[in-house]
Amino acid sequence: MDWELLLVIFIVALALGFDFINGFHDAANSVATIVSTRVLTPTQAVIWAAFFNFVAAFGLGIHVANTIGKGIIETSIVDEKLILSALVGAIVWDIFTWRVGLPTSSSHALIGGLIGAALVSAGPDVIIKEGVERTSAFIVISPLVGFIAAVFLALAVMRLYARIAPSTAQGVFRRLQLLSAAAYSLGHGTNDAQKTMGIIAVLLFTTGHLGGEFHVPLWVILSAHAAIAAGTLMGGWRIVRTMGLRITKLEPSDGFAAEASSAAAILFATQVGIPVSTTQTIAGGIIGVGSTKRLSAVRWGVAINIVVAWVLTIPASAAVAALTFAIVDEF
Amino acid sequence: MAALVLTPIFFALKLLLDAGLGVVFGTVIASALFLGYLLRQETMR
Repeated sequence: MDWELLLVIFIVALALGFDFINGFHDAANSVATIVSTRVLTPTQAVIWAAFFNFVAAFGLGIHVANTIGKGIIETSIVDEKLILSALVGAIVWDIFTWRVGLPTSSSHALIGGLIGAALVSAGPDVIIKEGVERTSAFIVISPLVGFIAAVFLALAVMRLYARIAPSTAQGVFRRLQLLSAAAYSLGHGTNDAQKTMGIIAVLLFTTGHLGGEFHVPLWVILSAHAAIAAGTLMGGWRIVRTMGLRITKLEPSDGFAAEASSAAAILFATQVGIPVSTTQTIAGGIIGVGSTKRLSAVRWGVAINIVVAWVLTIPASAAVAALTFAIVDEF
Repeated sequence: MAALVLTPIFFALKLLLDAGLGVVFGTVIASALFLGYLLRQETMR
């Protein structure tokens, strides 16, 4: 077996590892709300989330994979070194921010990694301005849309509560939260797994393993969804052990409003082919629901951390990827 | 109920996106700030 093929296999495994870590890292977002409302037990919630992460492989398109694969940088300059550097940039930044507790987006880190490595490899002309602009704008737009949609949905829920008995309403929302949690996991699965698919597909395409036309093979789709679902399953189990009763108690109607609105925002972005941060979008939804009760009840420190993450992630991961490329290119 | 609330929001978002990235960006930020202001007025009473 030649060394070039071994390197491609290693980078594909690294990309799937990045996807696994994404699921592991985001498992809390997928299960915390539905567990805290006691709609599902932690075990049931983890299995529910991982199942819908995987099911998202079917029927939700590959628009985001196409954006990552051929919409951020020119495919003509992509090679093994560039993809390896982009992944290292994203992974290093993710680990650093996880250690310091900053809620960054793996998606934005990956895009920053691609931009940084491409800049050192071939200069600014290979950056596709339109793709970077759309993605950068949605860093801000997506959580705000989650916030706005959650406010309107929470207000509609409050009106409903005025008309029917609270116990009846909570019973209805307990069942509806099963659907909203499933929708959120579908959105998380499809938007996040497609980023890995895009990276793997462009690597295979530029190294001549995909034939003459860029496409995402079925095995790449299935393996990316399996990796993120496995990550959710493993991350969720870890949460089951450590979570106890530390999660803030939420009403099922609050959980439903936050999950349904952020799921809608993520699925919308997926359909128009824009990679977004699922973590920051559900944070926007939760802040929206909290704001309808009392603005001072919202932990604004989280919102400020998200803004810091918006500003830092792409430049920082780009810098790490650029440095990595410069080193790797010497060999 | 969720469909009744969410569908118009995302239909409007698609129209704004078709109109241009700057349009959707400005409108979403302005709407979020305005909504925050209204919520502040309501919940401070």
